[in-house]
Amino acid sequence: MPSRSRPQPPPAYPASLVVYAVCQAKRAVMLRMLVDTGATYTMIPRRAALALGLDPIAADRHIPIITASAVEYVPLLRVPIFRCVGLELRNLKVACHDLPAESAVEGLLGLTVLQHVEPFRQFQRSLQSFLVHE
Amino acid sequence: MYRRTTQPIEAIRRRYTREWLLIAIDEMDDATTTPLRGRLLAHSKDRDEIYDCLLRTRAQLPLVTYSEDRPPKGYAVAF
Repeated sequence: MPSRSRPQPPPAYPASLVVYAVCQAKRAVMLRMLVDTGATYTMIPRRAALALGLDPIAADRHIPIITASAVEYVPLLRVPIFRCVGLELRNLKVACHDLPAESAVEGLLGLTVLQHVEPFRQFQRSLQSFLVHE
Repeated sequence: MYRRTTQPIEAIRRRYTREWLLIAIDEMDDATTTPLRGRLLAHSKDRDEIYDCLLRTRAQLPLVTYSEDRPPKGYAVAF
């Protein structure tokens, strides 16, 4: 007999897409980040950058980022050492922007990191035949 | 008072509901960058308070994390 309970909404994202990352500059900070294949850059919060000894206000470059609801201009900083999902990347460019507290994560793991992750590259290859090519 | 002894990270997270946590990491799995054990430095419903503590702490590797795995029930995301 079919269940009469109301269907539950899906979770906002699976917990398996949340990873830990270590950012290191003058100091080191560890953050929980969401894997986001729709994000160009990896994103960290402004005050995490300050804790690392990086100054978002003094950033050489600000870039426009297209979010779900607006275009935001955010500082682009270089993190000297970035460790995540078994990778260690040097001088990684990260966007500096605060996600809403409700998001339950502190940052986004974007394509600038994911392009180095073999399972993600395999995923891209497996989709190749379905992709729209110019 | 916070416990001075090191504890599993997941045990610390489970003790709190919808709070932001600042934890000094003592042990980490380097292969996966997963924190294993640490000491709780601060907890708050207000994320800004945790960042205030982060800017003051002398811990070698502080972790900022939320006690929950996901956003509140019923929320969806589009970043």
